[in-house]
Amino acid sequence: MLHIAGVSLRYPNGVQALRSIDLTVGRGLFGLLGPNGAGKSTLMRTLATLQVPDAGDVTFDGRSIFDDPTAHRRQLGYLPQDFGVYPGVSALDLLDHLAVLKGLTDHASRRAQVEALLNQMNLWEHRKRAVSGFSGGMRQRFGIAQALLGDPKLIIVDEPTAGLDPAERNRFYNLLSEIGEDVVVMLSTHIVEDVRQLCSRLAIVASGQVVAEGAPDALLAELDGCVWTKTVPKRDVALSLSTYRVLSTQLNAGATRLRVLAESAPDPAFTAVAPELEDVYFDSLHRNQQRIP
Amino acid sequence: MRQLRLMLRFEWRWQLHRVFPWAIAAVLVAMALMMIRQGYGPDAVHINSPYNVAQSWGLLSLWFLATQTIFTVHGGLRDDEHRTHELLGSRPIQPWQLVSSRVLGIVGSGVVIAVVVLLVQLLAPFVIATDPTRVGPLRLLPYLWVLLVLVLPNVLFVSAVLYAVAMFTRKTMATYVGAIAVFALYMVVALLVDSPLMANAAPPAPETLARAALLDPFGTSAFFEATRYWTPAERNELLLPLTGRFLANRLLWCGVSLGLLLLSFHRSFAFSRRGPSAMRWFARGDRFPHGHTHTAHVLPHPAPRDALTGALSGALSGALSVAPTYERVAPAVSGARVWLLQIVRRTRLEFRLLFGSWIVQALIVLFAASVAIEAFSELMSGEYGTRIVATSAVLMRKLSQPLELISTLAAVYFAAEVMWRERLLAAEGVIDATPVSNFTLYVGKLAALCAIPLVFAAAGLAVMLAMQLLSGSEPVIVRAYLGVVWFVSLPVMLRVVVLLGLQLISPNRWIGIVAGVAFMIVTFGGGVPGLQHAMLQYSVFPTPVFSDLDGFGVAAESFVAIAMYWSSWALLVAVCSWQLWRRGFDRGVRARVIAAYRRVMARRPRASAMRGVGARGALAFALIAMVTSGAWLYQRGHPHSDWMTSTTRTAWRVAYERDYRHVQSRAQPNIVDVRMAVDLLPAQRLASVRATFVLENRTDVPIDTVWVAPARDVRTVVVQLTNAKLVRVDSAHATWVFVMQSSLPPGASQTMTYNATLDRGGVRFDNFQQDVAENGSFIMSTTLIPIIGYRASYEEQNLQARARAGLGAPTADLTRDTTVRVDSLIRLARRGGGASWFTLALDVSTDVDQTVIGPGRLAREWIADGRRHFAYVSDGPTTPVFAIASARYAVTRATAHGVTIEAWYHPDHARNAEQMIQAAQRTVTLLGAKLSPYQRPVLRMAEVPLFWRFGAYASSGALFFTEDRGMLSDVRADDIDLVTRRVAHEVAHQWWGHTVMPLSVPGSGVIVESLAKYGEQLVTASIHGDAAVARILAYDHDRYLSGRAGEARSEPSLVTMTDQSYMSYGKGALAMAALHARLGDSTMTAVLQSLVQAEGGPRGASTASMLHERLRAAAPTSELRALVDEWMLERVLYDMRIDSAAAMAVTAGYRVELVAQMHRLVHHEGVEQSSPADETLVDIVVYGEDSQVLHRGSVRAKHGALRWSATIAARPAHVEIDPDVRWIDRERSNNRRAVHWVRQP
Repeated sequence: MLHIAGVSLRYPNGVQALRSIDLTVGRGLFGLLGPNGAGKSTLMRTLATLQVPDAGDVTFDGRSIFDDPTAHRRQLGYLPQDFGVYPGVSALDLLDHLAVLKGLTDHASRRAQVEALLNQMNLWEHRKRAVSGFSGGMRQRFGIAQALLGDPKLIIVDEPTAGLDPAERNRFYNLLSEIGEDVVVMLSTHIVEDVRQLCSRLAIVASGQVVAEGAPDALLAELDGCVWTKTVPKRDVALSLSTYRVLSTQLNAGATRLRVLAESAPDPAFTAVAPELEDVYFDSLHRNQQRIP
Repeated sequence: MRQLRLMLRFEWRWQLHRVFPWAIAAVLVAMALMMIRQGYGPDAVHINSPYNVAQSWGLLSLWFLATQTIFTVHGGLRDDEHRTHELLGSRPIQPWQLVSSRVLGIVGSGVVIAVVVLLVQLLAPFVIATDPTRVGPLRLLPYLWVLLVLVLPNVLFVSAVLYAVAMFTRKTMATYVGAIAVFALYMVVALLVDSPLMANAAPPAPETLARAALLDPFGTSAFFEATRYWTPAERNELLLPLTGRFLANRLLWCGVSLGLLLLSFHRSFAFSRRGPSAMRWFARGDRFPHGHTHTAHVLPHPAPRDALTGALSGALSGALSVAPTYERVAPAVSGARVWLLQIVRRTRLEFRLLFGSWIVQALIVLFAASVAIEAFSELMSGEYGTRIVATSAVLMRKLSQPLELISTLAAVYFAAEVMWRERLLAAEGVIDATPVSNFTLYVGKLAALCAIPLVFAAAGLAVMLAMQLLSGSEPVIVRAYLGVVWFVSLPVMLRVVVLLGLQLISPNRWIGIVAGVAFMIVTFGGGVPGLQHAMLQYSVFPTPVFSDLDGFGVAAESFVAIAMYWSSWALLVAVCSWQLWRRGFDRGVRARVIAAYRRVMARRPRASAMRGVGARGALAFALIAMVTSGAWLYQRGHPHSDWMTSTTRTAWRVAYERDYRHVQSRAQPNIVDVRMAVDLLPAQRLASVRATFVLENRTDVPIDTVWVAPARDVRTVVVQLTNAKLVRVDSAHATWVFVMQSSLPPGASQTMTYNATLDRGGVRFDNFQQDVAENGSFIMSTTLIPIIGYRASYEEQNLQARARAGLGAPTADLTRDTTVRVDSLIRLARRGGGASWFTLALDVSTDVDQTVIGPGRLAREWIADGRRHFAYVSDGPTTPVFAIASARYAVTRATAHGVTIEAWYHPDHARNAEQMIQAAQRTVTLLGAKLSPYQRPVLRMAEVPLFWRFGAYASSGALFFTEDRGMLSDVRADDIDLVTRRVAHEVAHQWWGHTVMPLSVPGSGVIVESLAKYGEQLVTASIHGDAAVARILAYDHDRYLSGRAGEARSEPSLVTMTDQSYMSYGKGALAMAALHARLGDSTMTAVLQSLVQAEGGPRGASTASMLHERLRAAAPTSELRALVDEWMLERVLYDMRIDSAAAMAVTAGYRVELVAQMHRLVHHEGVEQSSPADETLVDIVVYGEDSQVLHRGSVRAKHGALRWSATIAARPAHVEIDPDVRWIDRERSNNRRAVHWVRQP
C-alpha cells in the first residue's frame, strides 16, 4: 500500500510543482491523469526517491520511503518519461548491468530474467545491438524491461506507451495488468482511454493538486445524466463557449460537436449522452481552473 | 543585406550570451594581467613594448582553440544539436546568408574576446605594473598591429579548421578532437624550432627556422625567426614589418583558412539544400538515410492475432513459446557480495565508456605521437646539434613532464564528461532509481579517471621502449620505466579526486572545468601566494629523475611519505565527494551539504543514515591519517627545510646585509692550507667533514675580527679558531664571529678547526639536495669549506625590495665597475691575497665498492674497517675550488707525456671513454706544447649523475661530466665532435682557470671561458680540420646574437663583460678564432704563452685588459691593432648579404662573379650607427654540387660593396661569403647562394 500524505514540493526556480498531495494507492493499476505541467512526473520522481519533498511523507507498506531510499529502490521499478542510455552498450549488456545495480547477484537467475524480459519486449533479436541506436519504440520497450527487473513491488511508469504502436501498447498493458495483480502499479498518461481500460482507480492532477480521485465508474456515475451534446456551426462556437459549461469540442464533418455539462438539457437541441472518462477529466480540470484565481 | 545584418546580430548575441567563452576570456585576461604584473620579458624590454605584446599573443592565441571550439559547436552544429534544420530550411533565407552569418558569428565572437584582452593589455600596465621603468608610452598602433596581423588571421585559421571539421563530420566530439589536433600540430612545429614558448629546445639551424616560420599556423615562429636577434631597444620601438617569411606565413595561412572556409561553405550549402540526412558524408545517391532503414527493419510486425482479445499468456508467450518467461527475481539485500559485484561491474562499465570513446583513443594516439617526437628531439638535442644515446634514463626524463601535463589536462576535461555523463545522456532517472549505492557510483567513476595517467603512461612507455630497442642495444632498465609511471601517475590520481570533487560542487560541467583549470594553474604555478609551503601545495611532489648512477635519487625516499600525506587529503576529499553525490533531481550543492551534514552527524541515525555511519568512520580515518601523516612528515622534514615565505626570505636577506655588509671592507685572513677528512655514508646520504684550516693574514693591515660563514645547508657545525674568542653564533645566517685575542698581524697565521655534517637523506618535504648520493656523490668545495668574510650571494637582488629596505646598490653592481679597484686587487693578489690558493691534503672514505675521485695526486688508497680510504694531496698550492665524487666506477687509463689520464664512468657507459681519453691526451699534448706543460701527474675525468645541470665541471686535476653530456653522447662522424670539444674545453681549463686564475673583475670570463673555447678550437682543428671549427663557431655566433637580444643592461665589450655567458662563450670564442686567423697561430701562441708565464700560479693577477694589451702589442700592423680593439673593446656587428652570384662557362673553366654588400653597425651607448664597410677583408668560398670546396678567396669591401670574381676549373654550384665566421653578421642565412648561370656576353 502506497500512502502519499501532504506532499508538497517547490523547485528552486520558484515553481510550486506539488501542493499537498494526498493519495492512497493499493495493489493494482492506478492511473494518474493530468495535462502537461500538472506535476505528474514530479510526483513520480518523488515516489522513485529521486527527489525529496519539502513537506509531507510517502510510505510504502508502512515505511517511509525517504528513511531508507536504498531499501525502497530495491522494490521499485521505475520508467522515467524520457530517458537516455549509455552509448554503444548492447541491450543485453545494459539490461544485465542494470540488473546488477538492482541487486540481482545470482548469475543464473539474473540471466534468465534478463533474457525473458528481452524476449517479452520483443528485443531478443536486437539484444546485441546498442540501445543508443534503437528507435523510439524499441528504446521505450527497453525502458519497460528495465523497470521490471528484479522483483518490483511498486512500479512507476511515466508515459510508458509514448512511441509504442497500438500492438506494442496492448502487449505492454497486458503484461502490466498481469503483474499489477499483486503489486502497486502507478501509471501516468494523458491517454484517458488507457486508464479507463486498465486502472481500477485513478487520480486527476492539475497544478500540482489532486482534483479528482476514485474508481473510474464512480467518477463516471457522478456525471450521469449531466452530459449533453449538440452540433453547432463553427461560427457559433464562440458564443456557445460563453453560454454553456463546455467540456469539450470536437470537429465533426465541418461542424463542431459540443459536449456540455448541465443538470438538465440547456436547450432542446442538446441530446443527453452517457458520460465518458474524458468528460470527468475535463470537468475536473475546469473546476480546478475556477478554483485558482 | 539587412537580413544578414539581423542574422549576424542574432549570432553574436547567441554566441556571447554564454558563460564559457567569457570564462576563457577571464582566463586570458588573468594571464595577461599576470604577465604584466610579473614583468613579462627581459628587464630592458618594456612590458607593453610592441615586441612583448606581439610575443604574448603567441601563447594567448592557443586559447582560441578553446573559444573557437565552443563557438563552432554552437554556431555550426546547433541545428544538429537542437534539431532545427526543418525550422530553418522552411524560412526564406538564402543558404549563403545563413552560412556566412554563422561563420562571421564564430570568427567575430573570437575577435570580440581578443579585443577585450587587448584593451586590458593596453591599459593594465599603467595601473598594475610593479616597476614603472618597465612601462613604455601608451601606443595604440602595436595593439592594432597585433589585432590585424596576428589575432585576426589566427582566429580565422582556428575557426576555419574547426568549422571544416564540424561541417564534414557533423559531430561535436570530432570538433573537439580537431581542436586538439591543431594544438598537436602547433606543438610539432614548435618542437622543430627554438620557439620561445618551448623550453630547452635545441638551438636552431637557419633552415629549420625558415621552415618552421612558414609552417607555424599561428605565425609565432615566423615572428620569432624575424626578431630573434632584436636588441631591447628594437623590441621597445619596432613593429615587425609585413615582409619576407612573416608575410609569406600570414598569407599562406590566411589562404589555407579561406580555402577551408570555401570547402565548408560548399558542404553547408549542400546541407541547407538537402537537409540533415543528406549531410552524412557517407550518404550516397538514393540510399535511405541510415536512421530510417533500421527503424523500418526493427519495428515489430503486428501481432499474429488480435492482442486485445488474446489472453494475457497468449500475448506473452504465443509467438515466443520456446522463450523463457518473465519470472520475478528478488534482489539481494545489501552485503559484501552485492557491493563487490556492483563495484566491479560499475567500474568495468566506466572504463569501457571512457576508454572506448574514440576521443580518448585519439588523444592517446596523439600523446604517443607527441612523446615520440619529444623523445626523438631529446635524442637529437645534445649541444651543437649532436645526438644522445637512447638509454632508459635519457628517454624517461622526457616522459614525465608531458605525461603529467597531458594526463592532468585530460583528467580536467574527462572528469566533467564522466561525472556528468548520466545527466548529459538523461540516463540518471534509470540509474539513480536503482538501489546501487552512491559509493559504488563514485568509485566506478573515480577508478576510470584514475586510470587515465596509467593508460597514457602505458602508451608513452610503449613508445619509449620501442625507441630504445630500435635505436641501440642499451639495457632496458625496467625500474626507470615503472618508476616514472609511479612518480607521475600518483600525483595525477590525487588530482583526479579533487577534479571530481570540483565537478560535484559545480552547477554545470563548464564551471567545473574552469574550476579544474584554475586548480591546475595553482598546482603547476607553485601554489596560491601566501600558501607556498610544500605541505600546503596539494598533490605537488618532488619529481625524482632517474639516472643510471643514482637511480631515482634522494626524492624517491620521501615520495612515499609525501604520498601518504596527500593521499589522506585525497581520502578526505573523496569521502566528501561521496557524501555530496548528486542523486536524482539536484537541488544544489547547499542542499546536498546540509543533507550530508545531517546524515553524517545524526546521533541516532534513521535507516537511511546508516550510510552516514560508514562516512563518519571514513571521515574520521581520513582526518586522523591527515593529521598523523602530516605531523610525521613535518616532524621529519622540518629540520631539513629551509623554507621561508618570500617576505621572510627578503627580510632575512636584508637583515644579513645590514649586519654584515661592512665586513666587505674589513681585512680578512685567507685559507692557505686545508687538511680535511670526509667520511661518506652513501646509503644514508650522509657525509661528515672534519677539517683544519690555516688562516693567514695576507693583507697589509692587522686583523682583529674574523667572520666564518659555512654553507647554510650543513648541520652540526663546530668552528674553533685558535687565539680567538667566539663572540657570536648567528645560526639564522650561518655566521660565526671570532674576535682575535690579539690582532693577527700581516703575514701571521692561525689554525681553525671545522666539523660539519652533510645530511641529505631521510624523509623531507622540500630542500632535496643531491650532492651526497647512494652512488654518484658529487660534493663541491664550496659546500665543504666555509667562506671567511661576507657572502654577497645572500644579498637581496630585487632593486625595489632593496629600495624599500633602504639598501643601496648590491655588491654585484659595484663589481661591474672596478676600474679604481683593479690596482689594489692586483697588489693584493701579488701578495697571495684575494681568492688565494691553498695547499690541500684530503682523506675521503666511502663504501668499499666505491671509488673516490678527488683533486691532486692520489697519495694513498687503503681499506680499513670495511671502508675504502683515499688520500689526495696537492703538490703545491692549488686554486681554491675542487670537488670530490664517489661512485661504483669502471676505469680506463692512458698516458700522455708522462701524465696519467683516467676516465671513471658507470660500467654501462663505456662507449665514449676511449674517445675522451684520446681528446684529453691530444689537449694535454697540444696545450702543453703551446702554453706550458701540464702541471700535475694525473688528469682524471669522472662521471656524475645527469640531474646536475652543468655541462661539465673542471676542478684542479679532475674533470666531472654529467652522464648525458659526455658519457652518453652519441658520437657520429657527420656531427660536431661534441665529446672531443667538451673534453678539450675542460682540459683547457687546467690552464685557463687553474693555472691562470684571473682577478675577479670585469672581463675575467674572457680569460677563463673564451680562452678555453680557443683551446677547444685548436684541438678540434688539429683532429677534424678548420671546417669543423667553423661549424662550432656558427653555434657560438647564434649564442652571442640571441644572448645580446635578451641583455637587460647595455651590451658590454669583452673587457667590460661580467657574468654574460653569451659574451664569454659566444663573442669571446668568435673573437679568439678571428684573431687566430688574422694574427696567425704563432703570434697567438706567443701572446698566450707569455700570459701563462707572467700571470700563471698563485700570485698571478690577470685581466682581460692585460690580454687585450698583449694582443695589441703583438699585432704587427695598425689594421690588425684596430681589429684587436674592435673585438675586445667595441660592439661591432656587420650586415652582409649576397646580391648576386653569377657563373658562366669560359674557355679556362668557369667564371664566378659575386656582388655582395656589407655594412658595419657600431653600437655606442645604446645607439646603433650603420656605415658602409670599408677595407674589411672577407673570405669567399665556392662550392661544387656536393658542397665540396672548389675555391677559396677573399676580397676587401669598398664603400659597402663586395665585388669578387675568379675563374675556376670545376663547375660551381654555391658561393658563400665569410664561411668561417670571422665577422659577426646579423643575418647569416643570406651569406650563401646558388650561382645563377649566364651566357658569356
